[in-house]
Amino acid sequence: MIQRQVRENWKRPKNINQSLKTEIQINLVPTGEILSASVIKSSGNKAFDESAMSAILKVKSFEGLTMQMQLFDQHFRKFTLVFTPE
Amino acid sequence: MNIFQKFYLTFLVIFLASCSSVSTDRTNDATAISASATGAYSDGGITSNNVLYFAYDRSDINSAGRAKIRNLAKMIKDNDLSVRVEGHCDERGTREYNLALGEQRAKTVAELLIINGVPSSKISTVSYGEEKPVASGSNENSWSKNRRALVKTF
Amino acid sequence: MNFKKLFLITYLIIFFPSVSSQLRIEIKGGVEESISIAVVPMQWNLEIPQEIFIHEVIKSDLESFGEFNVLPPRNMLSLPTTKEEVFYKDWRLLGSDYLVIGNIEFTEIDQEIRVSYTIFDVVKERVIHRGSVLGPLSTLRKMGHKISDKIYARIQGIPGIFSTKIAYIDKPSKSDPNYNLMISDIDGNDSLSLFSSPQPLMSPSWSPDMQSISYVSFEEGTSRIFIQKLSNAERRGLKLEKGINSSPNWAPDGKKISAVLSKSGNPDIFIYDLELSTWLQVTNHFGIDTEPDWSPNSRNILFTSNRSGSPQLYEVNTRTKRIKRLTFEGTYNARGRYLPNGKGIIFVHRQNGVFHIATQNLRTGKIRILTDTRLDESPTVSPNGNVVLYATKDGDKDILAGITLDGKTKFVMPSLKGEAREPSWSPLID
Repeated sequence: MIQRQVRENWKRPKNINQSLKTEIQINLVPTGEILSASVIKSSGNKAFDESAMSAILKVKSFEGLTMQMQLFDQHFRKFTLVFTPE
Repeated sequence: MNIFQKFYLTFLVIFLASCSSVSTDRTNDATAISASATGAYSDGGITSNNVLYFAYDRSDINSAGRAKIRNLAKMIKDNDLSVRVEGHCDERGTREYNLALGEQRAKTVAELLIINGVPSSKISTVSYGEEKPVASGSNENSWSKNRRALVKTF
Repeated sequence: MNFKKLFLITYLIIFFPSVSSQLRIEIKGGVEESISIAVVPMQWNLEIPQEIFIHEVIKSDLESFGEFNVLPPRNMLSLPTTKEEVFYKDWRLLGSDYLVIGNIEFTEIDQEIRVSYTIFDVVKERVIHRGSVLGPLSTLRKMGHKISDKIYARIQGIPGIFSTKIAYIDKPSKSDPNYNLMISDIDGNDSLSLFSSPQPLMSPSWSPDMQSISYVSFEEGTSRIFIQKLSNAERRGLKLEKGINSSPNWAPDGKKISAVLSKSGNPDIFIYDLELSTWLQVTNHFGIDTEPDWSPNSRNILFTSNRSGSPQLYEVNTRTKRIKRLTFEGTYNARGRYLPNGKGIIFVHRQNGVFHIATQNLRTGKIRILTDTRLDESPTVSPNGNVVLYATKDGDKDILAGITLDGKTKFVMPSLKGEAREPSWSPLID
């Protein structure tokens, strides 16, 4: 669900190295809204990193993230998104 | 402050410092200068021009070709002529590889002239590869005409 | 709580275990879509009529290889020329991810102009680059290419190639009985003959500093390698040897040229020292060795050899002279060129009697055929490693065509007069 929302908003640059990988840490509030996002492991390609960041920015808030508070705190308050082209 | 603004702030902290850039470039109107070949080689003084044909990707000569070269050799010796053998290819395959193949064709003919008594000092060879076709067109009819060696005497 | 959702979340947690307790979610793929960019007509502050429109130059550059989708001015809601006039919301509404604005004015120097431009990230609502290009009024098109390069680099993360040049050979035609060594922009504009001869010209190759071109000329009745300076047309013939003198290719340091000589009786690879004017033999085999290309790290030379019975690509270490065969698939693999990162090669590959351009990964040995026309040859790679230009046929006509290395975008090189062959892509310069 999170995957789908991010992937749908992710426009990555064409003609780029297929082995790039960017890790972005996300802080959420229980409503699904994104508090902050930061690159914790850069791919080395700024354009690629930024395209991933843009995808998160476009999502703004994850829909359908209703769950028990305990489960949310455990897994979704802070988590990492790993972006790879293939 | 709504959540989006907060987000935006975090974002600014992460990116703004490192990302916006400034540049100054220059262009110039330097254009390259042209030149042309002066006194380039031409076929002046050639008295005869005989052609031998080859199979695709081959540089060997069939028996009819050998007979032709025997007669040519006799004519060259009788008239004490000099010979220039040019090797050519069809367009298939890469240009530089064809240049090498054209040289093999020219050398095959030169060797047969020497075997038939023409002194090697009277013979020069050159390959033009696929650069000087006599027939245009990407078909076997054109290709077979282009796979050739020219024996030019002067 | 909805059962389905719970299932999904559990699935994610199980599927992406993490060393720490923190959840990791993998995002694979994404939409590899053209990037939408709006390039606003720039404010023209010169009291003379405008002939070249810089936003059109940029549009045509950015759309060359399918990576960008440029919004036409008629679809814009406003035409801002300053940052204050930019309303991000408007551009987001139009689906533009990026926006470029600018203005053009004279400087204090006579006939010199300055193009100032700003690149905005619409999604992040911020300026990502501010730049200016200075130059004579006559170089407006070049200035556009420079800006395209900056936009491309800033958004794609690799250098833009719109200021690079192509060298190629133009064969004789009804209007011109000569062979011509040509250079032009990569879009075919601003073409110029560097050298003209009634005898064949072949194999142009750029010096790494982009100041000179080496090529083969038959003007003396035999093949000979020449170096010509672009700035003053000064020509220098390399020491002529008996037989073939051909296939020049510069070393990355610009001090040596690898080439083919057949003075030993058959074509072998040699290195010419431009300071000493001497030839040094690198390969020595009774078959055909030809078409050398220097590796980007200058350690190896790629070449074609028929030593196995059919033309295949090999690599020779210039120091140890050790030779390694690289291609094994098919019976014709020739005229190889390294990719700029040195990790792969492109070459001519014959399949069912038809010649295509193919690429091979040097680590895995896997080959991929890029083109589907039939007499494709002379591939040359853009210095940023993204695009291949090659010679092919349109009917009986020689044309240049291109394809991105991912195989997704194809194009025919536009606005070239005459018949072009043997393209050679220049290096990147500032």
